[in-house]
Amino acid sequence: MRIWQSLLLCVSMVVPGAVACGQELEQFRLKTGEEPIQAKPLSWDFQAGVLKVELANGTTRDVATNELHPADIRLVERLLSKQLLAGRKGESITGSDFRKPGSVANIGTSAANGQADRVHGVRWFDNESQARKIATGKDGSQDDKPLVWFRVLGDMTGFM
Amino acid sequence: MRTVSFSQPEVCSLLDRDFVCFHTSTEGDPTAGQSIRHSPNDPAGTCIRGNGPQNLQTLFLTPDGEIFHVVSGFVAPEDLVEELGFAKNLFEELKKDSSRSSASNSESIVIDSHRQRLANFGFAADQIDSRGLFPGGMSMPDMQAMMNQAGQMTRGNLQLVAGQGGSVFDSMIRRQVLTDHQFCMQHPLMASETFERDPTPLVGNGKSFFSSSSSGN
Repeated sequence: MRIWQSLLLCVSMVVPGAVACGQELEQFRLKTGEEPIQAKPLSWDFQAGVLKVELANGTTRDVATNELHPADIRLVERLLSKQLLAGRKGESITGSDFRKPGSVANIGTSAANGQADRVHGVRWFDNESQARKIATGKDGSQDDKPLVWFRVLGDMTGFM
Repeated sequence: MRTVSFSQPEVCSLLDRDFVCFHTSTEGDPTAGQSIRHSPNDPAGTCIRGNGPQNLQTLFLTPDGEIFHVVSGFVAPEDLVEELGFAKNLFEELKKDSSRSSASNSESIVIDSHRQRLANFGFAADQIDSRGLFPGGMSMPDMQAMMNQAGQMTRGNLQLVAGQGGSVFDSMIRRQVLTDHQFCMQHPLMASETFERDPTPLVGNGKSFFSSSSSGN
């Protein structure tokens, strides 16, 4: 429980009251069977389990996070993660940023092909096929290399 | 792992120079464990080798996607450097068998390498060939022992494996190391697709919980 309290304290220190977002609308799918919501996430209340979003028409809506599609919960988590990190660096965040690989500010920059994140200087692909293409030298490299497959509950740039 | 181990310069240097890295998420996989979610910048807490074997696995594959080495759960940087070295050497051995004319020969190279390594760690032949381990999961007594002793160890544990320490803590580490190597011996060069479809030969069907925080809780 203490880690959640620490995280919440962190959130409140970096972005008091809310996770501020950019101008991009995101699509949120709901388990209720409703049409997906096109909205901009405004804030996420961990304890209440509520995501506040701004709809395209400018109105706001509270969405229970347990009603969100799991993939979209991950989306929100990535937003929060990036918001925390960017807040520390004094950068602004846009809603669209957190869909991109490698968007977490101090983790790294995306590789040229957009398929890999650089994490502490190491290029991490997010799929096996791309990594195998590189490992077999099909990208023009000279030699075969073994693969390291980090199979994890989470990912390298967001929450783990 | 990414905070403690994948961030260390020596580990990064080896990964960048000698390997091609990729990651996948096990979210939604029924065999995955559970975890308190940590952001990338959360301070690392106390971990011992093998913590969260269902939550994370580091697997080493040939470029064709054949698994030749695995490390389940958390592994400290010092141990990870050793694991990377072992994997690199084993891969070089496989490459020497360049014709790959016989799959069984390549498999023998994998089996022999893992057997030899376990022997070097001090495992007896009957332990190396033993069956009936419970992959992935951690028994409640083991879990209790881990919680009781958390904080005493945060660094490399291969020394304990080699030294055959006597505590429950040590036996947990030894068991995980044994389980990982036995998997490779029993399923040499398993295709990654096969593993992805059914990772239970390594991770089992139990449920492990992984948590790490700087507060020690």
